[in-house]
Amino acid sequence: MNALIKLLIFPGFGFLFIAALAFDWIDRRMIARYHGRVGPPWYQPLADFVKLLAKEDIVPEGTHGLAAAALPIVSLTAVLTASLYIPVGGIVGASFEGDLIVVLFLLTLPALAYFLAGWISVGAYSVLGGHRSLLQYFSYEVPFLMAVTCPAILAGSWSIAEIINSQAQTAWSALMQPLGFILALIGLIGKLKRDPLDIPKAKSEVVAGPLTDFSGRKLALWHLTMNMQTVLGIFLLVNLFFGGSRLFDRVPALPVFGMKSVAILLALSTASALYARLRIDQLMDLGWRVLAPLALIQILATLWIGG
Amino acid sequence: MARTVIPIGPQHPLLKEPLAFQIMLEGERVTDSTMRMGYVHRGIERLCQERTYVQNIHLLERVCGICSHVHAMTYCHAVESLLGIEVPLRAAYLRALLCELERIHSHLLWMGVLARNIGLDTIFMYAWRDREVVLDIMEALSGGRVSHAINIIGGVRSDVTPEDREEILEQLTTLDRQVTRLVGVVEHERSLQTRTKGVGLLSLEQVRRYCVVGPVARASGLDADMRRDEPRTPYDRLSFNVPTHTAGDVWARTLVRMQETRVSVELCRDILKEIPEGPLAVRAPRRVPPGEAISRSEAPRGEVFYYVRSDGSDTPARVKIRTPTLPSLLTLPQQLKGVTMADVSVVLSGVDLCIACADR
Amino acid sequence: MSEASRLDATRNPIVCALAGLCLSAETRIKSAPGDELVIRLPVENLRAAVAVLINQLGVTHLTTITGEDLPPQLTLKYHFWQKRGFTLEVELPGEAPVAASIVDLIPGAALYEREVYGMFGVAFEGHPDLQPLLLPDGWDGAPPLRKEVHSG
Repeated sequence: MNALIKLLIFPGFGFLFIAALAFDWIDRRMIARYHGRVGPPWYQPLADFVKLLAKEDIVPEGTHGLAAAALPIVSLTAVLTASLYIPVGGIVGASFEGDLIVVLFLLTLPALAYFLAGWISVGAYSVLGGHRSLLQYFSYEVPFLMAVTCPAILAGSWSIAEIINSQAQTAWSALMQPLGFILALIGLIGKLKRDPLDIPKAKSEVVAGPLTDFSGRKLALWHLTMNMQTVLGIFLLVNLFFGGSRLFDRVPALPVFGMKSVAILLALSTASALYARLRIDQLMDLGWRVLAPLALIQILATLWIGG
Repeated sequence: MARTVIPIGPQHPLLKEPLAFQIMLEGERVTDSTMRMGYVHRGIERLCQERTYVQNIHLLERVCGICSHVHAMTYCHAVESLLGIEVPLRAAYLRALLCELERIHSHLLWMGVLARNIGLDTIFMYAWRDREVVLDIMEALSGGRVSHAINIIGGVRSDVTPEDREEILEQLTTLDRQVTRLVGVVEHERSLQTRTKGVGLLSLEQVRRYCVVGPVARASGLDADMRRDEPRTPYDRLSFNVPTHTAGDVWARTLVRMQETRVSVELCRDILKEIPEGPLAVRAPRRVPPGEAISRSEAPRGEVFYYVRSDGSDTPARVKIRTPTLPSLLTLPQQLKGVTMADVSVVLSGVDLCIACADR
Repeated sequence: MSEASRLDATRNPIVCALAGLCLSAETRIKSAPGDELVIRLPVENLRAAVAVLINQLGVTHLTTITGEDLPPQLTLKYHFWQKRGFTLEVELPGEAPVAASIVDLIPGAALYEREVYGMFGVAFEGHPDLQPLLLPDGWDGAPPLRKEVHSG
């Protein structure tokens, strides 16, 4: 029974659904403030989701129908499964040694599904967007993975709960490895395909990238997956770099966790508002010439300090 | 390397008006491109032959949404040349004021569109917020934010009261401050520079061969501006400089347009300060004598040209319009050669297309 | 020998340069900065005249090409600009009008010639890509700006 509540309500699907919509709202509101606008009301993300569910679901001729239906579901499933292992305010669905690796693996599946969505589509924009998303994947994933393993090396464990505990004894990983945190944040921007790294779905270039031909329920699931991925990515960073929900021992866990998450979300929104979109060749340049070497330096430094 | 053909348009988030491109790509590099225009061709030159000279003012304002006043004004210049009349000084100043306001409006709009097309929505929002000040001023002057209907043959139809003048001068001060800040942000924005430097190159030689006009030509080093080269009142009495650049890429065009915006704000202030008292219009004879006339003006995108021929009847025998976007369109295949797919949006935005103008 | 019909026009350097090629020159077109010169030529001399303008006088800016249907003739006016505007005017027969393209001399003429082709049906020989500029695909009616076309 306890497991079912953890799975379906908190910190599982129900909570994740609400958090996805809430984080989307905060993000849009924050960017709007940077623009000098007001921003959408609190129910806007929910309204968008419901509206999309009600729209006509068209699959263009030539697109692989079964794959088009399966890919958003596979993507969502991977994200939901990953959520089982990420602690929220100290509460986690399941935890074992090595669950960090499982989470990282599961969180790469949506990127693959996104590329395949472009691959199976017929329009030129989708194919080009899929091509770009794969190039982008190769540029951010390596620095991201390397940056995210640093807290694990420091804690001496591949379990997220263990990493949190170890930070309680020493200090936040972000303070000990600030470079690693920055790299992980940049990697997260690439993973979530947010501005300035929304290259695969750049509206003025490829219209909507791999998802150009999706509509209705399928598109609603895609958007939900991306929002949930945002939430989980942020939660992961909070757990790995900011000690989860520990602040001082007497402060309640969940609000602290929420505040840290929102702080990282605001950092992401600021990055979106401040920078123009990169070109794919500029991103590959950045990823391999700057980010990956820096991540390598961070790992070596961590090994040297830790060992 | 995969070879694909990407269609851009006639409907595309990048384009504000319909224009069809076929971009041939090899991987992410553009090898060739074809362009097809005419989607918004309304046959205006033909329609002009079937309407009276006064009706044509209304029609020609609708050639373009952004440079509507310039079109109507240039047409009125041509007809006034045919009639042999000269507009009063006050009318000339008011026409120039609206011209400069349109220039500011157009460049701010363009800045926002360029920023949006490279993913920098923040500058888009800032530029269009500053544009609102300009639209408010234009609304105070003519009653319309974008379409003014202020030109009549012989002058202008509405005036600026002393109270209006004070208020507009105040709004110009606000505008000056905001535009200066925006130009400062744009000139120092690194991510904007990275996306636009070296993209869409046109040399001075190419600009001359393709007969390009406007900021695109000035960004490649061609020092041509109809306000200075064929000056009419009040431009012959005002001092202003014409910004040029030599790099010939989209970044150079950005700088030229931003500096032009600042020059135009100054010009608006000077025009309002020096505007003489006097009548708003002279009485124009009904019948236009047979003859031909040409008039040229500097629209926000460059030289706009009108040729009007009258055969003595009450409708013009021929009205020929050459809008500044046409030669810029001609340079696009050259600019697109060898750029990446991502740069296509930068190149198309950098030229400041006004397809309605080009198609008429 | 050519005949310049206005005394002030004969002193104009452009008229002097085109002396052997033109039929007449007069300042005919009204314009606020000063009336503009119109130089009439036979259509065979068009390319030679444009070459003279480019090579001897350094003229580079062709503003546009205006077509006018005045039955039985069809007139083309090439509007140039160098410090002042001036125009070269040629007359073509109304039936099956043909003119030489100047795109290899002035690449900027490409779209203007295409527009005249679409609107008046003038075939420009030597144009690299002669198709109508503004007309819909598959337009099979008469060129829209010819006089025999009635609208409405």
